[in-house]
Amino acid sequence: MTTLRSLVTTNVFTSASLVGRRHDLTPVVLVLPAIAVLAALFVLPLASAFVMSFHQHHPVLGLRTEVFTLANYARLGDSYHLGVFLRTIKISGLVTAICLIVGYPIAYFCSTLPRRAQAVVILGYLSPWLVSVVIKAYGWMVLLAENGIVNGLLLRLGLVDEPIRFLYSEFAIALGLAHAYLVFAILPIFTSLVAIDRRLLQAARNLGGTRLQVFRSVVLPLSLPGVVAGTLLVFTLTMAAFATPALLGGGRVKVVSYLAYEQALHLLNWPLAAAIGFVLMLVTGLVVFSYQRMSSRLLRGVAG
Amino acid sequence: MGVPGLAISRLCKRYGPHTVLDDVSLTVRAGECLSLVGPSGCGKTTLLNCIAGYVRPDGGSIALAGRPIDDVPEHRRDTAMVFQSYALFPHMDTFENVAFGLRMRKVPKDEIRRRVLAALQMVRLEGRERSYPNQLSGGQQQRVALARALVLEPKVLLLDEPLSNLDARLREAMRFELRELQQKIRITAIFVTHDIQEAFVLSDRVAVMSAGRIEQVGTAAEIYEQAATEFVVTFVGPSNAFAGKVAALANGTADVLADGLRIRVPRDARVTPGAGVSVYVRPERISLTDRPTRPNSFPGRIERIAYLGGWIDYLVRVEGHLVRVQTVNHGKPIAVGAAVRIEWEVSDGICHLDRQSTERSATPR
Repeated sequence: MTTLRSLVTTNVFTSASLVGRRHDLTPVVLVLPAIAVLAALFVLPLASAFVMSFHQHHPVLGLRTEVFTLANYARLGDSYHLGVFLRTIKISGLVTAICLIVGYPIAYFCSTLPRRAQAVVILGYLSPWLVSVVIKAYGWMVLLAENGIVNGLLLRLGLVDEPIRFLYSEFAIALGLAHAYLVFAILPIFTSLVAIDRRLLQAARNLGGTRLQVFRSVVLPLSLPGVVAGTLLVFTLTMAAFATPALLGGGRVKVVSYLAYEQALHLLNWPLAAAIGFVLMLVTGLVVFSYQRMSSRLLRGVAG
Repeated sequence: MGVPGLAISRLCKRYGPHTVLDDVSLTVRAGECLSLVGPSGCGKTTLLNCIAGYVRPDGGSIALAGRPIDDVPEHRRDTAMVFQSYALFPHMDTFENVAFGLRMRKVPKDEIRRRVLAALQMVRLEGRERSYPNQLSGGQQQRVALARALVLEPKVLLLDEPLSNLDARLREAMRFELRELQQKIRITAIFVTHDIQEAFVLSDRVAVMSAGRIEQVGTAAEIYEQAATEFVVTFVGPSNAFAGKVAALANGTADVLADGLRIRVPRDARVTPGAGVSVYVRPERISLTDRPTRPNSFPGRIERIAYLGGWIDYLVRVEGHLVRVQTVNHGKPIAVGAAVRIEWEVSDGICHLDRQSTERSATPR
C-alpha cells in the first residue's frame, strides 16, 4: 500500500516537474494512441494497397505478386477511365457549387438569428446525417423513379406527357450528394460569419455603406475562409462518396469510387482497383492543392 | 455664435426597466471638442450611439449643424466614428481602409487617392499605405481609424474611448496629438472617456454624466473648482468631505459646524442658517503649517503617510475627521505622530446643500 502510494506520488511529481521543464512529453504521450490507430488502420493498409497497385492481375492465374508493373496506371489513361474521372470531377464540382450557392444564404440567415435559434437551425441541417447515406439515396429513388412521386405529380399536372427519367443520371447523383453534403458547406461558412466583429459592420455603415455595399465589401470577403473550407470539405467528400452515386447512378452512370468497387469486388482485379484508388487520391489532392494556392491570394489579410 | 455643431434635446432611452438616457440635453458648438465622461454604464456610449444612429432613442431630438437627423439612417448621417477597438477592416490595407467611406460614396478615383494621402499625412502615416492592420502597432491602427473618419470631412467626429487600448505612455502622447489635430482642422468632436484627465486635456468643455443624466457641463476648471453635485466632486478627483450645519452667514461666506470644526466656505444664495451641508476640500489645496494664518486652520496629528514619489499624502487626524492632505515632496517628510496644523483658503471649500435640505427648500409650503 505504501509502496503503491509512493509510486503514485513519484509519478505525479515527475510529470509535474516535466511540465515545468524544457521537454514536456505529455502532449506526445497523449497523441500516441491516435497515432497508433491511424498507423494500424490507415497508413498500413494504404501502404499495402500502394504496393498492390504495381502487381498484376492475370485473367487465369489471378493476382501475381511477383510482377512489378505500371500497366494498371497506364490503363487509367484510356478514354473510358479518363471519362469516368472527368465525370467525377464534374459532378463534385457541380455539387460543391450547388452547396455553396444554397448554403451561403442559409448560413448567413442563421448567423443573424439569436444564439439558441442558431443551434436549432444548424441541427435541422445536420439531421439528414441521422439517417444512413443508403436510406437517403433510397429516399431520392422513391422521389425520382419513373413511377415516383415527382413524375406522378408532373403527369397529373399535365406538365409532361410521359415520365422523365431522373434516376441513374448525373443529375440524380448531384442532387443526392448536394442534399447529403450541404451541411458541410453551411457549417464552416456559418462559423466564419459569426466570427465577424459586429463593430466592423457598424463602422462600415457609419462610413456610409448601404447594406448591400457592406455585405459585398466587408461581410463576403471576411467569410471567404469559411467558403474555402466548405468548398474543400464538400469537394473532397463527394469525390470519394460511394453509396449515393452507386445507388442513384445505378451502375449506368459511374464515378471513380464505383469503378474501384467494381474492379475490386466484381472483377477481383485488386491491383487495378488499388491504382484507381491512388489516382483518385492524387487527383483530389491536386485539385485541393491548386484551389488552396489560388484562394490564399484571395484571403490576404483575412485569416491574419 | 451661429448654428451649433450638434444640438441634443431631451433625449431618452430605456432598455426594459432600465433608463439609460434620462432627458439629456446638450449643445456642442461648431468646432468645439466636448468630452462625455462618466463611470461605465452612465449612458455616455449610448448617447454616442444615438448620435451615430446605431441606437434609436425613445424620445427627444438630435440636430446636426442645424438640421434634425432623427430620421436619417446611420449611413447617411455625416457622423464619423472612431471606435474603441478601431474596427479596422482586417482584409484591407491602410489605403483601402481610409478610402472605404469615399468608395461607398462613389467618389472619383483620383480624388480618392488625393484625399486618402492627405488624410494619412495629417495623421503622420505616410508610407504605410500598403500595410495591413495586423502589421501596424496599436498607435498606428488608432491613426488609421482617425484618418478613415477624417477623410470624409464629417460634420461631427465621434470618438468612443479611442485611447483606452493604448499603453499609458502612448496614451498621454496621443492626447495632445489628438487635441492639436482637432484644433487645427476645427472639427466638431465628441469624445467619450471614463478618464477625467483625458477629458480635461482633450476638450474645450466637459460633460460629466451619471446614471443617464448630465450632471454638469463646463470647462475643465469649472468642473474641478465648482463641481455642481456631490457626484461630480468625487468623480473628478479625491476630496475630503465634512458634513455639518450652517451656523452663521456673512458676506458671501458661511460658517459651517462640522463635528468640532468651524469651517468657513463660500456660499450661494440657497444656503440658509441651520441648513445641512457638505463641505468638500481637495487634498492638494490643504497645506500643513505650524502657525495659524487663515480662517480655516485646525490642529491635528499625522496618522499615516503615503509616499508617492513626486508628492506625499498625509492622513491627518483632526477632531473626529481623518483628512487627506497632498503635498509636493520637498524631501523632508513629516514623521507619523507629529503635531501639525492643516489650513486652506476659504475659496477652496466647495459647499453643497444636502439633498434632504434641497428637497425641503424646494417644497412649497
